[in-house]
Amino acid sequence: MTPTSGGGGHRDVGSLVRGLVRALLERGLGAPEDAVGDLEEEYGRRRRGESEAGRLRDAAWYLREGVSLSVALLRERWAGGRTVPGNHSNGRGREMAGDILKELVIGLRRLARRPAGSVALMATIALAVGASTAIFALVSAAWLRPLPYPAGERLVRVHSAYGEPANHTAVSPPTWRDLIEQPEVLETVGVWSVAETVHLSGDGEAVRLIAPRASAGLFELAGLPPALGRLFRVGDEVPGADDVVVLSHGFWSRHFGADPAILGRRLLLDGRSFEVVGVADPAMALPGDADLWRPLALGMEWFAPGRRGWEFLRAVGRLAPAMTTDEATRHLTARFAVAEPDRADRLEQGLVAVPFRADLLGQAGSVVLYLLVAVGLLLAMAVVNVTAVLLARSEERSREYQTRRALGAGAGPVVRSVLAEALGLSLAGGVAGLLLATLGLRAAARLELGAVGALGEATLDVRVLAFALGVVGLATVAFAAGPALRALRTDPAGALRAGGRGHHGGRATVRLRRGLVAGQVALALVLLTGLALAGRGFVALVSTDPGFDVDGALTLTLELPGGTEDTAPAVVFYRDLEERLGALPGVSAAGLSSGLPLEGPVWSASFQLVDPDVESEGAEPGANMRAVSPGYLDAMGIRLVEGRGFDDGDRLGAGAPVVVVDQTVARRYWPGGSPVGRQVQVGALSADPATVIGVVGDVPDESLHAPGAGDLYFPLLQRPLRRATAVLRTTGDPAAVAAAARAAVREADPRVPVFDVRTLDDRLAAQLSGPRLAVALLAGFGTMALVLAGLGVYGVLAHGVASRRREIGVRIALGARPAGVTRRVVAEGLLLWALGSLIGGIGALAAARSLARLLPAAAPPEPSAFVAAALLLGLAAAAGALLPARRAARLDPAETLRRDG
Amino acid sequence: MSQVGELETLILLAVLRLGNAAYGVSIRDEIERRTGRRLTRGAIYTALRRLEAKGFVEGSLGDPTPERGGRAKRWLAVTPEGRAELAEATRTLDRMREGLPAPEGLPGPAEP
Repeated sequence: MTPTSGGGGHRDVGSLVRGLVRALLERGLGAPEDAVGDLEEEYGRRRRGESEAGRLRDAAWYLREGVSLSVALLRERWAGGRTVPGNHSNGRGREMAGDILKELVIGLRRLARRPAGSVALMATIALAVGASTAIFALVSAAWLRPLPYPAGERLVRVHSAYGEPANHTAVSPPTWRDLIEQPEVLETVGVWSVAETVHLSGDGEAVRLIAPRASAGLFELAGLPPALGRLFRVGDEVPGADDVVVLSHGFWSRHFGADPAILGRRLLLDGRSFEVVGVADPAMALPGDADLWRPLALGMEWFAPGRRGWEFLRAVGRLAPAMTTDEATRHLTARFAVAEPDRADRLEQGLVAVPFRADLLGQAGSVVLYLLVAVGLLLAMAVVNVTAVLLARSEERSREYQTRRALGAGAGPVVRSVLAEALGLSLAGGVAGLLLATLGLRAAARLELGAVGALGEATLDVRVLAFALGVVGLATVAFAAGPALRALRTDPAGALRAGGRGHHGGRATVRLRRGLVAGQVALALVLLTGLALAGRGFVALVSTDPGFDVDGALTLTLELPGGTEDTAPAVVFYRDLEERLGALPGVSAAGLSSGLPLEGPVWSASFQLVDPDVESEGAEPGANMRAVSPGYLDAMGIRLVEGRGFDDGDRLGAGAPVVVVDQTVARRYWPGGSPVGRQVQVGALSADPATVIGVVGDVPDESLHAPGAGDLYFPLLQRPLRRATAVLRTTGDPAAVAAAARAAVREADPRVPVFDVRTLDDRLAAQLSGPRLAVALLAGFGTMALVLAGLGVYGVLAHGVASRRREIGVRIALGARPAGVTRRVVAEGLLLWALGSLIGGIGALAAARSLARLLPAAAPPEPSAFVAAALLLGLAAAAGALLPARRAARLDPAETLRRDG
Repeated sequence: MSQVGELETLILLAVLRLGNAAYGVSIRDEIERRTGRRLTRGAIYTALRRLEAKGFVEGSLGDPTPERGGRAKRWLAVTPEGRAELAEATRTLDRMREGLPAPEGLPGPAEP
């Protein structure tokens, strides 16, 4: 967590509370200026704002004082100026408002008369409002905030897609050209190159920068004017004339203090001089982490058909008007199949267009939508629950209503009083819910959701507050509707007779309340079934064996200075470094790799099978290329299936070219046989064919739930890359060896910058924390659903027992056995459960089907999920029924009859 | 018979003590300092409004300051009627105590 994010959260709570209270006092209650001024002054004096707890205490203090003043103001208002002569108002509206306030206070008092029950109701509302508001804030940040680019909703990412389910990769230069040549599909196309870094050298230490090469079309597509200077034009895409750069606004501000004189300055990037021609708009985030952009200047040779395997460009396009993403996918794939029939055929390769926002959000996008649906069900359950309880309470008050009506009161005041009670409940619950939502969002910001970008920026903005207000409003109406209808239907004359016998409500109300509880059970069943399916999917995701050992390893990334063709010093450096790292105390194995699993393919390349000499017709086999040192497989815990891994002999100038393949590649290209001992020609590596010496287990490329494209490992010591990530398998706490590891790199070569020193678990947290968080939330929702269902059953039965004391008493007096009485009550609870399960079962079936569409990670619908959900609910219902049942069985007939007779 | 209750008496006394520095915040602090009782904001507010309505204190608005969120202060002073009422209230108490043995730890009736 960063200090700012935590502080921001608290400032939010504090100022939210203060703002709400102040608005209530000044606008709502017309508090005089000096009274609010006193409050502000004392607040300013007592504040201990520094610590987190202090700020919360300040907010609580403000709330308490504000409430105290509000009560005084309300009292004054409603005394109608009795104490303040000359403050009379004869306006009818004013009188009405006074009446409502009066009713509100009476309503609150009535709630206060049953503190435990009322607090439980408020807590129910607060939890429901809080959870739904927090989730809505996530949805709002993810889906509703507009993209900063013009016609942003028509932007799509275009990926190469292999196989089914499709495995997405970047596109090649010839494919880029194909995209440009289809303006009827994509009116603008922009690309940038994957994962490119440069070293900026100057006065001090070299700085490592993320410097993708971008096409001029990318800036045209973004449609954001430069903050300074100009952006790229087609003339910059000529090799040799491409010595210009555009800086990102962030890098310009950070590194150059937003100096406007930057234009025309020359920067030394990897030893080559570039002129700064412009600074991009702050909102330009293609890609989001770019420090600067270099022009994408590719010679003609890059567009030859043989370069289809060089997939290193990320493509974004704006759909032509009236073109949908599905149509675009079809058109682009059809065109690809014409250009590359062999790749389309043998590799099942095509192109796929994905809406830009969905692509950016990835799985998290559908997860938040699913959570919104789930929390909506939970909210509905909570509202039904509270409604049922209020309905029960209103039955107890039915005599009061009847008396009031009989004495000539119109329906208005009665309805107003019902509404006031409902409003009091939902407002109190709503305010508490907002606080809960703020806390929840703060907790979410602490988690590593950074990869999900927009989610980390979720706040309680106007849209979210409006949502919360809407929820509170709807809840109020729901709470008030039943009791109000009941009060209206009351027959003033006849009712007094029926009411004389105690407070059992009319048959209709009892049926209504049973219906509500059954409905609640139904909702819970739908929710629980969905949770079970989604949960199983996520648990599977979290517990998938990734093919390597996640725990107990430290990683750090380093990068050698660029600008040199001679690779021999790098080989020496990497050998030396691996030895140093492996010898550190507490380290059991150490290795280096060009990239780690789950961080996305860094580089994919094509190769030819030399042995057996398959006649390749245009299309070539391809795989992700991973350069690794001898110790890497061991340090990562990647399983060796066959043959051997690399050793120190497999290095530049010492041994023949060798490669290791993973099981996917082995299966795909040597079906039925062993690749060990066979030869492949990897053009990108060397002119000589390389021998396959081993097969290792698969590791995922980008995501735990998509199959990898297949990996081809080659020795880092034969072809050293500039950038490598070291993995140190530790015997104890991996974080404890961080300092020693940094020192080891410094000793090996002080010029090499080290960054991203993190445990392997941390590094993959963004991948893993999403599903983990989802599982935790689902478990929380499930528990709430069970508790609410149990409470619902309890409420209706407890009330039933209370209102039938006399009847039950008579039964017991006539010899009914306690066990029989218990059975009857429990049976009634189970009847509600059975009824609810029946309705819910139908709903759950429908929901499970749409769940699969909404959330691809969810497990497929299966009967066991329904059964498990229904059984759990049955347990909750039985638990809810047991207490009233025992109470009924223990009734003392003599006492009941005395009291009620 | 006195028209003010105990709470209002306390507040009138606090306003008198504070001289020309009496306003909501200082009155509450003064009462807490002398009696150890922290009155609720609502109670102070209600009592002051009542005293003003009865004409026992009068208020005048001061300048708004930033630490008060730009809101003015209301300076309070006891009116002659207020002083008379206070004297009456004290007398009422004394009359009630007259002739009672002084309970331990309590002072006897005020000397005439």
